[in-house]
Amino acid sequence: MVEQRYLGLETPEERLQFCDAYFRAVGAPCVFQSDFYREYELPRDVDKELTDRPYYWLWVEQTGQQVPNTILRLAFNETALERENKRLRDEAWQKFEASHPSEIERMFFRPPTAEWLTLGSFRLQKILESLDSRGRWVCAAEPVTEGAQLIPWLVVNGIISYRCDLVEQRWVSIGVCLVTGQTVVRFTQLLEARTMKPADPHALLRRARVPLMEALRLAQQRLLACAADKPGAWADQARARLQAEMRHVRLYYDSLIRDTDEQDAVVFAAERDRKLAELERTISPRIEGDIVQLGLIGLVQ
Amino acid sequence: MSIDLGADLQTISASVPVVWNDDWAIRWLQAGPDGWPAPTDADWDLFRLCEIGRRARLAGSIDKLMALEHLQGFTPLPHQVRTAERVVRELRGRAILADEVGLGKTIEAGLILKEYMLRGLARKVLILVPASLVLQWTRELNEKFRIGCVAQRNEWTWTQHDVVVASLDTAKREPHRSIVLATDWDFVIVDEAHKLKNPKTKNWQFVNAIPNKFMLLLTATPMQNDLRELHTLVTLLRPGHLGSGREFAETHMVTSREAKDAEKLRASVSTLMIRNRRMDGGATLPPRHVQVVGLDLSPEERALYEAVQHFLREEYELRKAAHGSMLPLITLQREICSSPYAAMVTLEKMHKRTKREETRARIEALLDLASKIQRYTKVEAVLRMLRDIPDKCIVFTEYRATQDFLLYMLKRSGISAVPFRGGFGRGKKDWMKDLFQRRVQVLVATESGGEGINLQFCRYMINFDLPWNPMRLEQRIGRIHRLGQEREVYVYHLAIRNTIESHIVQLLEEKIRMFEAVIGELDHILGDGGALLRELEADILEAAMTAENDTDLRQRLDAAGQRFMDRLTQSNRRPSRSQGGPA
Repeated sequence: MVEQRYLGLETPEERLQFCDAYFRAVGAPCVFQSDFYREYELPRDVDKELTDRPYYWLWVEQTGQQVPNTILRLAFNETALERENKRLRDEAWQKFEASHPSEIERMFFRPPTAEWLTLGSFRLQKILESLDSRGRWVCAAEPVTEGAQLIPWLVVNGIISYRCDLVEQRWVSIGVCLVTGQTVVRFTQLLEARTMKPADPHALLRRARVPLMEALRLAQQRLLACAADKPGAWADQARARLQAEMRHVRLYYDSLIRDTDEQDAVVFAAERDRKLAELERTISPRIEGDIVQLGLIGLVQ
Repeated sequence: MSIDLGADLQTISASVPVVWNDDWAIRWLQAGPDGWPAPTDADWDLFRLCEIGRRARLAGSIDKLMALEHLQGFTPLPHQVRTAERVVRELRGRAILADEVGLGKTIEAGLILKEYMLRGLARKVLILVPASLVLQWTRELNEKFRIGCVAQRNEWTWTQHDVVVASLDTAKREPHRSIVLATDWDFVIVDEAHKLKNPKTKNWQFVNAIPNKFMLLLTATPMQNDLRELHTLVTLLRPGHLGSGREFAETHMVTSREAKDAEKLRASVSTLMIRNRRMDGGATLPPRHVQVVGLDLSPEERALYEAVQHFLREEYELRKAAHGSMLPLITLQREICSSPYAAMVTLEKMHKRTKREETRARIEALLDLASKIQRYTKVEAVLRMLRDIPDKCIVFTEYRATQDFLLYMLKRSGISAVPFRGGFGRGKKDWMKDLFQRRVQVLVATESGGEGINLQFCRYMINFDLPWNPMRLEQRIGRIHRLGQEREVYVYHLAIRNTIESHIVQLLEEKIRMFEAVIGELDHILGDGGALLRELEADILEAAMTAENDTDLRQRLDAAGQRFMDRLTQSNRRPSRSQGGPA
């Protein structure tokens, strides 16, 4: 169960708790732990998602190799990284020397090392990508006590992007009651305190009166209403900037075209049109709505 | 695929269009329970974790750079962060980064690029750099910024990879050119952008034709000899921002090197260009000491110098009458100040080309005079100085012939030295740099080889000859006086007394002041030289070639300098701030 206090990934503590929860959820046991350091044993499917080595897996699977599971060694701060790397090095050399290696073997011996999991690191990026796919759908319900009934809700989590030559994004979570069609914003926040168990979608949908596609339409309507909350100044400013830039470009090329022969004028006109189109594409304000997660949730009435 | 939300729901207030990315959601819901995977115990946790991960990656307000959280193994300096913030917030991703050499323009560009990538504004990225810097850029972006980029290798690289680092010279040639120009790049970076100062060149026309949304031009020297160069660079970023070429000249120029109102021009340019200077304290560098070392030629060298001057003047008159090219004469004039060996290369070329028997005989006589020289004043000075310098030293020259000659003379004197020049491949450059760092005392480098190499482990530099261009001089010094240098830096300019070279120091100072007037101050790179400002470079050359004697030359230069000073004073008296902002 993911504890509810996770708010982000900004601090080492948050990242450590996030990783513990992720690896527990994907069935990768923690085989060693110390202060700000973990070693997780990766099942093959998780290993494939977190490390880019398709040829290795092709070789393993084509030749029927029995390979041990990978141990992922993650340090969450620099102190842990240095401390654990030293421990790993010392332990590995001790074990290695005990096997009486040859000079050649000694030359090529490399002890294992830990990796530092930071925001923007390759491994965290892969974990997030893995979650984007594994966590985009859920069908769950609250445990039902005797006599209680479950109300089905469709959860639609999306990102609203306000785009011009800059971008600002907002997270919106909408719940649509599949019985009444009622919509609720910040829906996942409302679920934080509740316990959820896997549920049978057929059973949940039995009481639904609102078709799923209609529920999605209602959710998108509400998402748009949320998007419209932001004052329109950003869009007005972007449009003003676009007009000013376009005016400059037109004046510049018109003056070139005036002073040149017909053949060059055609070339300049084409260049002007291309630059105007580029400006339009870059600066024109627009809103993008991305649906990134869906869920069918049963809540006790 | 999209749901019909009704006309009123496809746009919101102030008619901002809305685009939905909901294809998968529609497919998923249409598939229904029979098409969904069987629920598992982990689903709820994964769902919640996915939300945390998604929210952590949202592009927040621009008050804070997201990129700062994603760096590896280094902390950018305050001026670099400020620059990145300004480019993102105010300049909107189109800027000239014109920091003085050694203040970390690459770091600034990396920060800005990372920010745009994290915010999802840049995916397809093109980075054009000199060939010698392709691998260095690729390494830095990968290691410091964790931007997965590749060095361009073949014509497929452009489309197979999102972030490509390539040499401008390769990219502008077919078959690459057509592919690059047919690709919609989100972000384009051009390093050493002073190579784009002429709109008639293939370089400029190529970069101007690259489709892009955001563009950074990196150069320590956005303007070298002509104010129009600024207009040319600005036109790549924002055509018309400084008006057309003619309007720019009318509004901002008295001559090609003199701004009507420097303050006003600077204000216009500041919305597009950021220049950090060491003096601002953005980066604390140890002090640099610049000293001009005056030398007297030996009688044999003086005889050759005077004979070459005599020859140059006569040729100048002949060519002027026949409207012939002055370029070989300018080259010879510069080479003779470097070394007889350098001059001999041009003399031999002229000997081959000329059809006049008389000229041929004159050149033969000059070559004969050159071959009789036994002692080389400048070389002896270098050997003397190297004996006194207790450390590694880089010797810069403009000419390959001088470089070879110097290496030979150093070897003969038992001083270990290696060459460094533009023609070397990356591997050989790294090897020479490594040898210099670990084994030998002296690196003899030519101008082109010096571009993009960092030699902070060295703190002594001798300029065997001086470039005509103050920005090139600044770039030379920037090789050792840059971030990472922890000790005081000593730079020596060799200048022969009573030759045109002795005037060059002053000429350089004049150009630097012109540069400072518009762009902002440079470091004081010419030591405590006189304050006399000189007339334009062409006037100097003309004076040098037509002056009766050195006194005459000096008088004419003084007069030209006074004219320049008068105009400068006049322009400073003009009201500036009241005339408003950008053109």
